[in-house]
Amino acid sequence: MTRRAPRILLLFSDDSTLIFATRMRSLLRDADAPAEIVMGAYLPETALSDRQLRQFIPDGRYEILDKPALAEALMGGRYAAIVTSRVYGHLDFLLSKALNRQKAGRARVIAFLGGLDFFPHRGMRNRRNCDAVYLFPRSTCDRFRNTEVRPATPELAAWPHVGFGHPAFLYPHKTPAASLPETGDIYFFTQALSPSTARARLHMLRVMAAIARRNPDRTVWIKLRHLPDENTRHLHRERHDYPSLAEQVPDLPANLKLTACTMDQAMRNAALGITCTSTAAIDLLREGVPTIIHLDYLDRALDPLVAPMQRLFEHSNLIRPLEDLLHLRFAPPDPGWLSRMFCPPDLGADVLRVLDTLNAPARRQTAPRRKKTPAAMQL
Amino acid sequence: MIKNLKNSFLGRRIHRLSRDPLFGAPLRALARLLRHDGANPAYWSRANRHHNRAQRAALARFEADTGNQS
Repeated sequence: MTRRAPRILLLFSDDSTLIFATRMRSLLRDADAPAEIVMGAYLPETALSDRQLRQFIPDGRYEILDKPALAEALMGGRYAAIVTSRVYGHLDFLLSKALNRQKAGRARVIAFLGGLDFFPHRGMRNRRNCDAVYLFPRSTCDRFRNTEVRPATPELAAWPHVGFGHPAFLYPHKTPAASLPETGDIYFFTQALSPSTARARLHMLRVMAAIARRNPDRTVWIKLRHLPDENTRHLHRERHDYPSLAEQVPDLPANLKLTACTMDQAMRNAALGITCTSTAAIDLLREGVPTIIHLDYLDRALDPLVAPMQRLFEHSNLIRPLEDLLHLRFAPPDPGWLSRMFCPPDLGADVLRVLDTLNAPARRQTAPRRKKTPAAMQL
Repeated sequence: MIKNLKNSFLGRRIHRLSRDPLFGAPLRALARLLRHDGANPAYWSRANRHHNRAQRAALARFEADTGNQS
């Protein structure tokens, strides 16, 4: 008898969760196992513009779920799993009830982290009622096992299942070049929160202008996360946007430009990526693009994200002072650090294996096994 | 914390007051002032000013060097 392909709902509500969902969709499709993937926008927390939706889901094929529809998706038996990078309050409320959790036919909830979480305690607590939780780096998996997982008893397996990985944190498929490639542009990947002050952002703009003047044969792009009128309801609101700040600097060189293209489009053409924040750094590393992380910007003392960022990337080899940044001096990432941060590329297959185990009562006691990974990816 | 404050009784009262024809404008001005970068004492600290000065000087040196090269 052939088994039906599992129907999986990928939830999203803003640009971060939408990027997660589209990446997860392609990983699940790439897995060597059939699965029917449905994208689902969670209406009560939606903060997406027309442009963002057209950019990431051009075919417009997604379901819209309000609270009752989310409850129906969880309990109604239409889905084998709900995969999400944000455990919405209503979903957590439903999962917090033992009667809901134990009901046969319920969709299994597989929760990933939203991204790199400098303060993961709350995120870990929000995910403790899920069926499987995927975390990173490896140290966070250990912390979650010690603090949130209900341990195994003679009759029952430990839960939730703890996996390692995130669709944005796949082990790089190529090593970055040791020197600046002959062709390609230089990209500065901006973010809403860091640097936090207007003068710090103006300083970064002037740094990019100086790099552009020194490298007239290349274009220096300021890659905007979103346009100024977008993401006004986003969790991370941008107070000082770069397009407005650029208008205050009168003598910007012609080869310094702003773009709101997608990350993938930018990385296809990037000889070097510069960033002050973790998410862009991780995207660059995953794609094997030479990366400079700069944390010595103005008013760094005011930015609460600098210290955890420094801790997280301490042994990565990527944090560079201003002198190095201006002269475009960089080094490849440390391999040991990479293996603690990035997961094997078969993440989609791993999720389907975990789902298979969670939905097979006879085998529920057995922890799902991951395929053996190359030694370089092991701790 | 700010999200909790916004959802609290006091937060909702302040929000309502901010739309009051009489008290709204000064309240909004005060809110803008508190959101200003300089409202954080660390903005004015000696260590921060020293750090900023060093970074600006490094950039100025580089720009002068670029000017000399061209």
